[in-house]
Amino acid sequence: MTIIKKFEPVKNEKGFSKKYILFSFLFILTLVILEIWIQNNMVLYGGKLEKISKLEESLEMENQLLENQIATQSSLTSLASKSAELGFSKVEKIQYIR
Amino acid sequence: MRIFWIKSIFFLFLIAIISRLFYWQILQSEKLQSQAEQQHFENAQVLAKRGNIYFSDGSILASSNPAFLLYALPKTISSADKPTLAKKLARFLIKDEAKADDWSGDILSKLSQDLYWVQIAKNIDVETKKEIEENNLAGIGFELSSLRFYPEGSSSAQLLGFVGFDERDKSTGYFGVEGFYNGELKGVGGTVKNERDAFGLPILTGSFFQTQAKNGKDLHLNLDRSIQFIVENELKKGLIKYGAKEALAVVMEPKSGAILAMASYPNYDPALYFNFPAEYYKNPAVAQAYEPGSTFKVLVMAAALNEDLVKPDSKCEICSGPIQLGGFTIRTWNNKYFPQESMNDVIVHSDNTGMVFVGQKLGLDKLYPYLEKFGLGKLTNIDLQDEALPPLREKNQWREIDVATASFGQGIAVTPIQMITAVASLANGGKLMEPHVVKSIVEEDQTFEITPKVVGETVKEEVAKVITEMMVKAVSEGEAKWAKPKGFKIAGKTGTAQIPIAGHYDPNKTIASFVGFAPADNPKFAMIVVYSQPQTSIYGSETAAPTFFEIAKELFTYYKIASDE
Repeated sequence: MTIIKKFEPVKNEKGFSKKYILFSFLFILTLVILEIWIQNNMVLYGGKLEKISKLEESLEMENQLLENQIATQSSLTSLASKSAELGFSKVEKIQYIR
Repeated sequence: MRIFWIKSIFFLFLIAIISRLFYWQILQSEKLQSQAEQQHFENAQVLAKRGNIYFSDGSILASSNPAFLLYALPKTISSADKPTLAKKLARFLIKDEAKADDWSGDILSKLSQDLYWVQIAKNIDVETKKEIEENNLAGIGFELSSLRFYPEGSSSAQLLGFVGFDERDKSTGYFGVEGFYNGELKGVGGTVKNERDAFGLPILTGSFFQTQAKNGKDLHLNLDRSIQFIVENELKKGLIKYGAKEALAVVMEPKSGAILAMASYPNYDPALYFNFPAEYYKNPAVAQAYEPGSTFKVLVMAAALNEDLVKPDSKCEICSGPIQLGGFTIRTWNNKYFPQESMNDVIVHSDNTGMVFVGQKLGLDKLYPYLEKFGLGKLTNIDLQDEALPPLREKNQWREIDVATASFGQGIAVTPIQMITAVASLANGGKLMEPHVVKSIVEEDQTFEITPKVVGETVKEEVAKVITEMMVKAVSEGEAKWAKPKGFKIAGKTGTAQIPIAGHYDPNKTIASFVGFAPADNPKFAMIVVYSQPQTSIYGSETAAPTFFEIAKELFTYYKIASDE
């Protein structure tokens, strides 16, 4: 007796398997959680950035004020009056050494 | 029937909802969108820092100080609190209690306006801002701005100019360097727009737009701080000593045309320019024309020497007495006459008749091109905003008497900067240089050097040497010899010009001046000193010359130039 194998079409196994769908879902979920976590952290950094920006602004301002104070203190008008207070006076007659 | 009514009610609801949505989404969309943007976004203007101005040694002549604009938000302050707030603010802003009461009234009227935002005061310094902030007053805020700062006070005021506000309330440079280089100094402001959360903090992952602010360029001047200080001190002393109405001095490096010092009195404080009369703002060294008088003789003599029409020992044939010309009598300043005097002596004695002789030798056809060569009738192109141009009469409008009077510096107008530039050309072997205040312009890491520029040749080099020797004699043997520092070779010439008033010259009102350079053999500086209407003496030899020599003495020490004696 000849047994003839019943011809059955091969099942298409290329579609998404349950395992694959689950893996994708977990991956997306991880990404979403990660994004939420990063966003949360970023909000905290926003506060820090604001603080740093304000600090930078105030330091720049302080720098400018100090620079101007130095310029005032070392101005010739100021130096002339300070040297006069200390008793310095202009040389009236210059002696040349030859 | 009931179903009909229910359907109708639902239909009306639907119409109402659609209408409301249409109102919000279509009619009010732009407004709501902008309101939402205002809530989510912060828009800020970033100020560009105005460039600094430095002396040649790198010290600051003008910089910027942080300042603040104080504003209030009247709608956020209750009516009951407004009078108290106005009083408190006035106390902080005005230290004088009496004036503070007046001010509180002004502030209160501002706070009572039906506005969201009002400006209370501007240009508040950091200290006052801190004091106000410590009181935690509600409904007010500050905006950062800046204020010009001058560590040397009113030094170089007219050369520098000032920073004021234009018609759009934007800070702008006026007059002098601030005015001329306003485009370079002001910079370009920027903007920042970023998304903010409910607490007003920036969202780092949100939208962020920025237009970077570009700070103004810094200017490094040729102006020497020490020389400027010396010149200002001596000029101030001279102004008081000689009772002059105005005084000015310019010191230039003849080889490069670099302006080493420029001062004039009366001057003003550029930080408080609004407290001074507007006529003080212009720099007389470049903006005021005057008749140069006898200082002009060296230029006319140089022209005649260059044309080989006279020599230093040529004799004057018309110097034995007053000269009658075109209905006018030309005399010497002291009515003393020296028949057959040499050209050397014409300069030494500052003899008007001798110069008429030289003028006649030249004639208009030869004199006129030299006036142009020396820079008359043209701007010197100095880099200052307010340079004036006294007109040089057209050649066809000159009469014989005009040539005669021009030969001794009357009937012709120049600015002090034109005069010093012309004389400096004699100190520079005949090369006329363009005067320059700024040495370099610095933008972040780039530097633009302004190189010396030769404008033309006035006389031949050998003629420049000859006229220099004549000017040296004028100093050592002339009327001002008593004031000359011993052992130094200085070339110079005094000038006393009467001031034309209502068509005639007032003999008691003069412009006394001295122009020269030193050391004569290798000039380090050329200088002009001018006093307007001095009271103690009308003569340049007794007023401007002593100031010139006092400044020169200090410059010799500064440049380490030793006396020959």
